[in-house]
Amino acid sequence: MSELFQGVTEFAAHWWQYLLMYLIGGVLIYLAIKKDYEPMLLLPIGFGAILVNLPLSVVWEMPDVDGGVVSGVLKMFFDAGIQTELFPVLIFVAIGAMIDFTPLLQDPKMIFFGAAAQFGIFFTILAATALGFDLKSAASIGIIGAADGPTSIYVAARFAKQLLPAITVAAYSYMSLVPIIQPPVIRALTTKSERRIRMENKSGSVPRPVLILFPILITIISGILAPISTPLIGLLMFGNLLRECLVLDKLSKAAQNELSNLVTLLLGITIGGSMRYQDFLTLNTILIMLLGLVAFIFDTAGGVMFAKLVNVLSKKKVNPMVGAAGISAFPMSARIIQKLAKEEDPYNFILMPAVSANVAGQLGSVIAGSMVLALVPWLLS
Amino acid sequence: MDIQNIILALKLMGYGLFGVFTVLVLFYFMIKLLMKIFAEK
Repeated sequence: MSELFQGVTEFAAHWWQYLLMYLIGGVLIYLAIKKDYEPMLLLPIGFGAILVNLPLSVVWEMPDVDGGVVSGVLKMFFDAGIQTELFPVLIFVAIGAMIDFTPLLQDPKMIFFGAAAQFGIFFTILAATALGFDLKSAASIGIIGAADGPTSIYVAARFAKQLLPAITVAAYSYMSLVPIIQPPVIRALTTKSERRIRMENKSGSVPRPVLILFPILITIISGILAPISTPLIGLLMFGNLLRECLVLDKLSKAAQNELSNLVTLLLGITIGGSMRYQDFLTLNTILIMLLGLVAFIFDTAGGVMFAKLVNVLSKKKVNPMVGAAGISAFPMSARIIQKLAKEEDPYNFILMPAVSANVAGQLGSVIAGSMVLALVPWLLS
Repeated sequence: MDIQNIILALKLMGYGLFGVFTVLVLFYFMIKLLMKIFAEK
């Protein structure tokens, strides 16, 4: 008889933890539906968090007939898609097929902004170690600053699986909050006259052989310099080659739509499914959320300060706000920069340089992730 | 606070930022070269 009411007994024993997790799941679903904050991920994550925190968590693990334990449906997804790093890598194919590198190829010097805006990653790693995290955990937390969900998942799945749910929720939450996080940081670090600097909009077509050779050569160079980066860069560039070759339109569209949608759906509910209250309601989760915010703030600051440094060294002035677009949140960050520029001067159009920096940020975040993957084991050896 | 870990994190910051910039510098010259080779006349 007691077995019939196991759920009620379990719920009564840990009622506040369960209710708190339903509240967290509910907030994520609310943000997705009402505020339109990354709904494709936050909604499945929120619902997955509720599912896995129903008493006995049978979607995670359940007893079998022999008295042992077998994996539930969400744990199967987790083992197949996250443990093996399959989901983030497949998402990279989809992202690659969505990225148009033309603005960067038209104005290649903007690539450096994609490097400067990764400063937040490394600063946050330092801050996390100061708070007592070991280097692998700190590196996984710092990667939130890549503003690139799949890279965060990929690195955390390799270095700190136990922190994966909190890192993923932080990464996607802050990516959706970029329009709120970036403007105050940019305003604090720039003067009105700096925000009014006008920039030349580079235009003109990029020869087709360049668009085709770009993903192939990037893959080869990255693979030689940092072989560990091959799954990340290689599949990102494979997706981009599908797009640019112009003979695989069906595959390119499938990567951009069907593949992206399906893997995102599975990724979201699987991450939510790993948010069991036993693992999630910890001090570490709060610290990770705070450090994630630090990462985004210092990414923005790094990009702005680098642009200011360029202005000191160069005659051709750069609007320092463009530096903040060097993060991977595309095209949100570039749009914010244009909006801020228009607030100061209605006739200032810096969207194209901001888009170039933003595309460079997508490349920079993957390179930064690869650097962390390569350097951490080396430093610990 | 583990000083050893913080030193490792500082090293990671130095090497990491240097590495990201170096790789992107290579990409920059690669793009410049490609654009020069395939420049439309």
